[in-house]
Amino acid sequence: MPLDAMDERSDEELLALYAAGDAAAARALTLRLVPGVFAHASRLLSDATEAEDVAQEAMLKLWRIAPDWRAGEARITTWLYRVTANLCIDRIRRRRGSPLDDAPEVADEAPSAEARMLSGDRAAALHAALADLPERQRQAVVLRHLEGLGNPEIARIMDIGPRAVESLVARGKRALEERLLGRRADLGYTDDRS
Amino acid sequence: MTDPDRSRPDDPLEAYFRAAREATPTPTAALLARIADDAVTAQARRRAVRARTGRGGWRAALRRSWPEAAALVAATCAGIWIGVSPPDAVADVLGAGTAEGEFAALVEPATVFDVALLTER
Repeated sequence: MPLDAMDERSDEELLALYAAGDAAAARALTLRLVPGVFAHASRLLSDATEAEDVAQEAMLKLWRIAPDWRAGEARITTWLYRVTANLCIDRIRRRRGSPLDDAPEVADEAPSAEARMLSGDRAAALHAALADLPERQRQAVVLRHLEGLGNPEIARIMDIGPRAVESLVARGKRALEERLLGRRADLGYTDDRS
Repeated sequence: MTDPDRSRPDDPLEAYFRAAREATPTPTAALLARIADDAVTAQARRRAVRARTGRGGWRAALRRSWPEAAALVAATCAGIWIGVSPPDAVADVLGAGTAEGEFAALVEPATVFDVALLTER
């Protein structure tokens, strides 16, 4: 089946076609799903190489469960967000266990974030600040404000209630505000929010 | 997977979130190719497994392990035979007509307490 014809089909239909042996369905799913998986992993890990490994691993899990996928039970993107986040959290925990991360985190991070703000690179400053948040807060803030998902879907991805999502997002944002907006004032920024 | 319309302009962090959304990392062509290759490999592996265990595969497995299969069939037949027409010895133990409690006394296993008494000293 040509790739153009695949555009009309849902993720689940493509996965069923792939499980039945259609190689074009795999290519279509790769083009459709990998950008989101890779972006999410990059945002959680702040490391492109590791994000590539995670994206490949998450998609490999999808290819393997394709024949057993039960249509209608969960959205493929929701499942992928969850798998991706779990793989990222595993890596973050391994990093924390490594000898380099035994040193206090804050001392080296602060000047780096300030320098990034001075250069106007808000995205980089945000990622540096996100990296300091606890894993679940980081995941919730990224899903809500960078991936643009609603609380019910985030709740399904994180396997918690919508209220817990709200709480995680609120606490995460408070910490980001302290980190990013507090420094803006220190650095003499005016109230420029553009 | 992204819905940028959920942004809130009055959010003091929105400028940062917007900057991060605009700088969305994109996968390289090499990564996409690797992932598509993985898909084809997984498909081929599944086909190979199906070929080994699929149609005709069970006959080959049966030929390899016929003694076990014969024992299983014999045990099944014996179970059915005993159930339909129990020998006298079995019927006595199952004890139709025995007083209530006798059967329980026959089959009640030793309790932990009994074992403790036996092993004391």
